Amino acid sequence: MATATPQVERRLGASGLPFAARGLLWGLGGFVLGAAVVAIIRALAGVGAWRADQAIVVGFLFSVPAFVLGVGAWETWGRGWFGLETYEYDPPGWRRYFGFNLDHKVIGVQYLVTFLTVFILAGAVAMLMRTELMDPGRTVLGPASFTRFMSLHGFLMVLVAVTAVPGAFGNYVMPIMVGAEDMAFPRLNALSFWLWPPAILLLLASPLVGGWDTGWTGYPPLASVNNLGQIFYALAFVVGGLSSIVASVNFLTTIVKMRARGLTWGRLPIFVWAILLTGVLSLFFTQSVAVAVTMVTLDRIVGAAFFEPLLGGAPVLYQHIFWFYSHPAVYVMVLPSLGVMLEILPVFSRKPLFAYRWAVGGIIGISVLSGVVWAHHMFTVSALSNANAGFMLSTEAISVPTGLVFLSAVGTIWRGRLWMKVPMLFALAMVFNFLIGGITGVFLSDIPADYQLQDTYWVVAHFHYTIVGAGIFGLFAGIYYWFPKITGRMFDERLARVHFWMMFVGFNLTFLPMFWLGLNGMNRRIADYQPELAPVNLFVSLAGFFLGASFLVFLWNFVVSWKKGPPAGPNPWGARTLEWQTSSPPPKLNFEGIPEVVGDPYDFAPDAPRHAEIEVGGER
Amino acid sequence: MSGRRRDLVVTGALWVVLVIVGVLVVRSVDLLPALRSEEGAEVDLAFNTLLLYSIPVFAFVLAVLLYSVVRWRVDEPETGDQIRDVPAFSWGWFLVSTALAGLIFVTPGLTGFFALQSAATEEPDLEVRLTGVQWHWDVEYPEAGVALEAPQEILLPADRRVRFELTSADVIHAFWVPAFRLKQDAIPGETTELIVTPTEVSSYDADPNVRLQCAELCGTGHARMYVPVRVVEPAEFEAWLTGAAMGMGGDGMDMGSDGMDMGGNAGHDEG
Amino acid sequence: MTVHGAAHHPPYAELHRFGLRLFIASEAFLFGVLFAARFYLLGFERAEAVNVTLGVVLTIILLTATWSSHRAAAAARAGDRGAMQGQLLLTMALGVLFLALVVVEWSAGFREFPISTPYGSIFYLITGTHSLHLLIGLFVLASLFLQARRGRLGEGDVWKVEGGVAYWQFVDVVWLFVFTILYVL
Ligand SMILES: [Cu+2]
Ligand SMILES: [Cu+2]
Repeated sequence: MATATPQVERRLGASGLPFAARGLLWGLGGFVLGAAVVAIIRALAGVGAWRADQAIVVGFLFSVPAFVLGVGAWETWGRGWFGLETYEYDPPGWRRYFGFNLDHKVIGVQYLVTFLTVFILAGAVAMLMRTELMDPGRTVLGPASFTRFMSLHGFLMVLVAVTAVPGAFGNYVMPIMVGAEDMAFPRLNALSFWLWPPAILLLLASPLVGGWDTGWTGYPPLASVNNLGQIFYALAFVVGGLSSIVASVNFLTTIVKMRARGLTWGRLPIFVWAILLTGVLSLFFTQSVAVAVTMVTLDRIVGAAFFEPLLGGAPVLYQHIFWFYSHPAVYVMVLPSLGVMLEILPVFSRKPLFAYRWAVGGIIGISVLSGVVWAHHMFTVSALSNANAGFMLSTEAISVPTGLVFLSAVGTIWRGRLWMKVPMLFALAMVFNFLIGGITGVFLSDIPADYQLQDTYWVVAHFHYTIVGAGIFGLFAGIYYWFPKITGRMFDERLARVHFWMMFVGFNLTFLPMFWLGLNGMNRRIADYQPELAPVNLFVSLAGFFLGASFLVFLWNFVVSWKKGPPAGPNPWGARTLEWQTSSPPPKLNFEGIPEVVGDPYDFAPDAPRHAEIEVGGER
Repeated sequence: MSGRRRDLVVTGALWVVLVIVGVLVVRSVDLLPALRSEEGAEVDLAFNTLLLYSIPVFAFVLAVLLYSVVRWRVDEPETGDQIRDVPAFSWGWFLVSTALAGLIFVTPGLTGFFALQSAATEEPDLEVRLTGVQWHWDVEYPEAGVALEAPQEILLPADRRVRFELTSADVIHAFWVPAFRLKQDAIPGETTELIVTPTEVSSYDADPNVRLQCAELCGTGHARMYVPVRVVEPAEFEAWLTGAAMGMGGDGMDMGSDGMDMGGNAGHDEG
Repeated sequence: MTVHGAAHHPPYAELHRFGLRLFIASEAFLFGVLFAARFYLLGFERAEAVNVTLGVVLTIILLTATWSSHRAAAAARAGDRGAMQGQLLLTMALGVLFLALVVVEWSAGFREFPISTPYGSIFYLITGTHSLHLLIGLFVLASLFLQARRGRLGEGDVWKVEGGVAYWQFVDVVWLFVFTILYVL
């Protein structure tokens, strides 16, 4: 029913405002409306019209749909609900990124740029934290601001880790990889992206009300009694969670129902498998975190009793609900990147993905088990209770499917011909980093060892090794791998290598010493520590600054190459999967014809049949 | 064929070398600080066992990675050997990793867990009640009727089994004495417990890990929510406790209070 | 849906039916978590003050609405637009009645088991979440009704009605669980 018409475009030209700006305006209107509704109800109930926290919650919940409609969902979608004609938002040039665009490639770029920006901001906050931690006592931040910045850093980075790779590459590359012309539900796809700007803006505004100080985990009762910023955190989590669910419905439907002819499950590129299972995890677990933070919010704004011990509530319940989502979320952060890694290794080894079936089984096994391990974050809640033993078992069992991913990785490079281009460097670094992250996680799953390690810098080091060392390294591996496809241009290889080595060395120098710090009495989330730990902390801070500087090199290269890099051609890496069998960037409907998969995606033998044939101009 | 064998032999040798290097490194770097409790021995045993197991695993992947990168690096794309799977190897990998996971679950996992559980059932020599408060610890020795609000120091007897009853007056805190190794959350509305037997006379001044540190994020004062612990001879402890009980004088006045209304009981000895 | 001449593409209805099933599965997990929280916090205890009679009335209303929504879908399949609109209207009316009674129930409930008790908190959270979903269902049905009236629901759009009705019936089924764990147990 949506028909591309130039009408919307003209309307845009007349007002001179991109739709994103109109969205902000409508969003503001929605906020005022929501706050007014609260004021009226309160006034009618005779309890005084104004109460900030209630006004903010309801105002924000009104402002999000208003914002989304304002950025163009009204014309492309909302009008249809009332039986009116709808239009597609498809202006030329840069404007196409600033509205409710339905093209999955545009949405992929929107995700990529948005979350790179958030990554850089949250990284800058980390620099501030490491400045404070350069020496004991107060350096630049007091303990209050440190704790708030720590919380902001943690939460923003969690959002980046959960969203960036599936958002950018799951959207841009996956549909092309399966030979589809777009995602199954383009409007839901645009919705999933446009839910993010309100959530992110809200978080960036949270320091105005004093931020919040519970870290990204938001445990009550602390979360029930602290600053107003806690509500911002909760709202962002709910809205971001809704986006994840919507996106995962789309990913799953696209992968299950829209694969090209001949693309059997056994020929599916491993990255698509990773996105599929990521979608399953987001679909089933995300609601639970929304429930957890909603309950905290209700405790705060209407005096509910969920987690308030004085009213008969149970603070520990929060941790169960929260981790029921947040452990699977760890795999939402890592699986897509592991998919990128396993996608890259065969291409640059010119060798089939080793033990493909085992790798797929590993990804599935990780996903299934991830739903039954949550309480390993809670061993110290009741350290000697018998249930802990069960969670120790399930957690240690996850090391088996995770090991299969390593099997596939090392088996692929063995006897390959390793073409050490930048994506390959990142993929190999991921194997190394994730190995350390995985092994140190086993220590945390062991109840006796966890006694000492829980809530220390060992945990900080461990999850940075998994989520940065694999998740974020995978993001950059994917950026370098698909940059030529997305932009049609090649990046500067030399600068990219500088970025890689700075990031790899800086990362390891920053986080490796943290294991030692944790063992030696440094607990996490602290603005201050024992003077004996000063030298190592100074070293960590300096290494952290070096790591931070690596991203400046990246940014420069990213921006300049996007504008002026040499043309890359359709397939600079000689890869076989479908996205490389179309132009860079691909045409609006991705292919000039109908793709039909006829072979394996990783068969690099010189006489091998192609992965796919594209029937140009053919009719089905 | 001989080339293949050479690849395997060299990688195997590299693995062995890396394992040896790994063991040497782990031995030379002092990973764990001094241990000062009986129960903590289980924790250290578990940690060291896992460390031992992880060296060959880490070294294996690293050896393959290093050897492959050196041996098969090319400057221009070139077709690699088209190996899709080596079933024996994959099955071996799967079975060995499953066995390893099973092994670590049983020991040090379950064995350590059961040892800690059974240690916790033995009769304690001393009861101590700890209440976490934003941002200090209140300490009570109920048997002697001594209650100290935000004391500057917590005294414990050496070689005596101490049972801590933990709770919180506001948000979640956690008991952690790094030198004792044990950790247990203090949750408002609930009482949790932890049993520890300090093994030797020690103090915060000699070892900063002899401190009761709050380990669960509890707000602004979390980092400095710690109080030095002093482990003394039992006789000295008894004498101190008796004195403290007399000082209480029955009217509930507590002599430990520093009279400060903020900042908790941490670090007054620092600049 | 734009008609793009090119790639392999399953029928619109099949695609949307699959997507809706996924979404409903996801929603089921949401209620599952809420129900689990109810038992974690309250065990098997129930507030005596809960108005079971009203609960039964609410259940009957929703069961009737399930039936009428079913008739609406059948009418859409049979191509009987008039009957479909009628049944949609009836379903919506029942939904509105349901919500009105929930408001009555809440205002009485606030006195008997305020939100500051664990039971009250759980009760309002679960019934509130359910009512919110019902509201969304109402919006969907209203939209279908409007589209039908403006003649924008053609032969090929039977699925839209079926989808809206499927979601509505899911929310009705959830109510049976809500009723069981809040009123009966
Ligand atoms: Cu976990
Ligand atoms: Cu604390």
